Formats: sequence, structure tokens, C-alpha cells
Amino acid sequence: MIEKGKIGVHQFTVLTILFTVGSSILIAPSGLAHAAKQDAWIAAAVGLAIGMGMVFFYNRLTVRFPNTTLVHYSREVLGKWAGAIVSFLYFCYFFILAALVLRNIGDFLTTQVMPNTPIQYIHIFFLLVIITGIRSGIETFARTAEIFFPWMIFFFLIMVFLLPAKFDIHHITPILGYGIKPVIKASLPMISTPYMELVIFLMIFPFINNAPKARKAFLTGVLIGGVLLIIISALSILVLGADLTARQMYPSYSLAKKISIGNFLERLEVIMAGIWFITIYFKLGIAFYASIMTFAELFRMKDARPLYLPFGMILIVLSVIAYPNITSFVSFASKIDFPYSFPYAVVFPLLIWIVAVIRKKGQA
Amino acid sequence: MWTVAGILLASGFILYLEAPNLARNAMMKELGIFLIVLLIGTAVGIMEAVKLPIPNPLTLITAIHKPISDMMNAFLK
Repeated sequence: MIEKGKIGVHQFTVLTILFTVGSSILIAPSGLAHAAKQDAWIAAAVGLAIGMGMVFFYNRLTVRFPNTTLVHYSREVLGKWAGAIVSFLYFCYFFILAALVLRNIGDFLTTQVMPNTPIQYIHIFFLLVIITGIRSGIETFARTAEIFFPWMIFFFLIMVFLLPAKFDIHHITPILGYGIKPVIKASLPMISTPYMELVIFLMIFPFINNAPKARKAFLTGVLIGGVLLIIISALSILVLGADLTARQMYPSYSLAKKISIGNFLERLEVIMAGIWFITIYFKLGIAFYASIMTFAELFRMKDARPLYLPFGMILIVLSVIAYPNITSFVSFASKIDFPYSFPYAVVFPLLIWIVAVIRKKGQA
Repeated sequence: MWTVAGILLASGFILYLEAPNLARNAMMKELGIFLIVLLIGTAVGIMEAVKLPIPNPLTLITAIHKPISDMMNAFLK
């Protein structure tokens, strides 16, 4: 294997939490509130429940193949050619995911913080920091995650403790007033981002030093990350109301603008931006790392590090051309992302698992 | 024009950074793949800089999954 590093179980938990919270903490509440109105938090909970089911299933796959990556066992199970095609598709999936996450950063910064800076330059600088981080390997990257994680939780708790003064309980009633269908509809984009993307951890799983504990850590990490997302959607609804939440691109960012304690602590939106920069840094790092590892292992390369910079160039172009404006991103995220992610998150892993059982590959 | 020069400069710098090490260790396959990817990266970078149309994979993805998405939405109406 190309990756020589080993990461600890605790570090893996932190990585899964950061990945799950990732870009969703800023973007998800709007889409949820758009479809499910005041029941956005219930839709987030439905998403988490299905996400946990998916992690249970991925854990079945890692029981069979604890020491090899997704690319390796798809070749072993499906044969040389079918395995290579599936691996290449996964490379495309991870790479496009990385491009979309990078574009999220660019969109946020150009609309909210630095409106006159061309988006390309924001992408270039952010990606350079990412590449510096992941070139040193997953071990260093995971340790960095461990250092930043308490800060992210600290910022999150500030939000949670300072906002209840602004709650309006009428915003959240009547619960399930529109029936269950809008909730299901709202939960679909939530399932595809972030929970279906968790399949990416099948590329990282073999580098954890204790497989049985890592499976529990996977579940715990996703559970914690998902609960943070439920809390942030509930906060958005309670403070802003369903209508305002749905109308904004970044409701949780506006949420932080509402913080006001006495007359001396006002507008703490930079705290929200702080949380987001930390989580999205790690989400993008993991996505880019996994795509390069998939590619390098597919072509049986001895070293993947020289690929980061040239693929980075392609990633920047892809992230800029991916969609012309934010509206088309919202339509992609809410409508296309679920059917597009479904084969990668469910069909291929299920296929590999069934064929592995039939052909008696891996450990039973 | 300056952007194109900047992209070429960046590609040259990446080449200078990675290629000697690969050549020294006789990793010819790695070197070949690295050069191909760098070439594609430089090409799409320049195409983007001079505003040439670049095929967008998301258009294809959207075209493929639109019917499924429409069906799901009709079901959940």
C-alpha cells in the first residue's frame, strides 16, 4: 500500500465528525427548511438514522476486508477489469466531491466575506493549504484534526449557549403539520450530503490501528456529527423561523449574526465561519486525499505525493466550471445529488459485498 | 495573457519540484503519469484562462440522473 501512516481510533472518530459536519453545517439548514418547513430538524434526524444504517453496512464490508482499501478489494472481488472500472468511477466521484466542496468555500467567501476577490484565487490559496496538509500523509492530517477539533466544539457550544435568548417556540410548531412526505423529501439531499459520502472512509479504514474499535468509532463519529447537524437546523428554525431559514443560502451564518448579549457582545458570525473553515478544511482534505489515493492505487503507483499539485490544477478548473451560479448548485444538491450518489454509496458496495460472499473472498 | 504566463510558470515550478526526484528514483511509470496529469492540468488551466469552453462533467451527470430525480419528486409530491 502507498500510505505508510497509521491513525488512532480517537483520531478516526474526530475525522468522521469533522467530515460529517463538513460543509453541511452551513448549507444543509436552508435546503431542509425549504422542503420540510419547521420540521427541518426532524428531516435531519431521519437523515442521520439512514446514515447510521449505511455505516452499519460499511462496517460489514470492513469486517470482510479489514486490511485493504476499497480499490484493492473491488479488484480482488470483481476481477481485474470490472474492479478497475468501479475504482475509476469512485475516483471520479471523490474528485468531483472535492471540486464541489472547494466551490462551496469559494461561493461562501465571494458572497459573504471578500466579494471583490476572484473566486479562482480563493480556490488556489485554500487548495495550497490543503495540499500542504495532506502531502504529509494521513497520520499528520489526523493529528492536525485532533488539535483543531476542540476549537470547533468550543465555537459550537458558544453558539448553542448564546442563542436560546432569541428562541421563539412558535417557529417550530405545529410539529409534522404538513405530514410526513415533505420531511422525507427534505431528508433525501441530507442523506446524500454528507451521509452517502461516508463511503470515502473505506479508503482510509485500513490505516486505523485497531479495526474492531474503529468500527465503533465510525458509528460514534457519525452519530456525534449528525447530532450537531440536527442541533444547528433546530437552532436555525427556532431563531430565524422556517421561512427566513429557507430563503437564505447560509442560514446558520445569519443565525450567528443574531447573537446579542447585553449591548457588548454582538454579531458573532465570525465564530460560525470559524467552525466552518475547520470542518470544511478536513472534509476537502479527506475528499482530495481519497481521490488521489484511489487513482494512485488504481494505477499501482509507488508514490502518490507528486500527483497532488497537478491534480490540484485540474481541481481548481473543475471547481470553477462545475456550475455557473449558486442557484444551479442548489438545484444540483437538492435534486440530482441523491440519485447520483446512490450507486457509489449503496449499489457498488452492496455488489462487492454480495459477490465477495458468493466467491468466498476475504474473511467470513 | 498574464494569467496564461502565470499558469505556465506554476506548471514549470511543479515540474521542477516533483520530476527530478521521480527520475532519480527511476520511477518511470510514476513520472509518465505525473507528466500526463500535469499536461492536462496546464491545458485545462489555460483553456479556462482564455475562456474556451471546457466540457463539464456535471452537465452529463445531471442529464443522466434528471429522469430518476423527476420520478422521485413526482412520487413525493
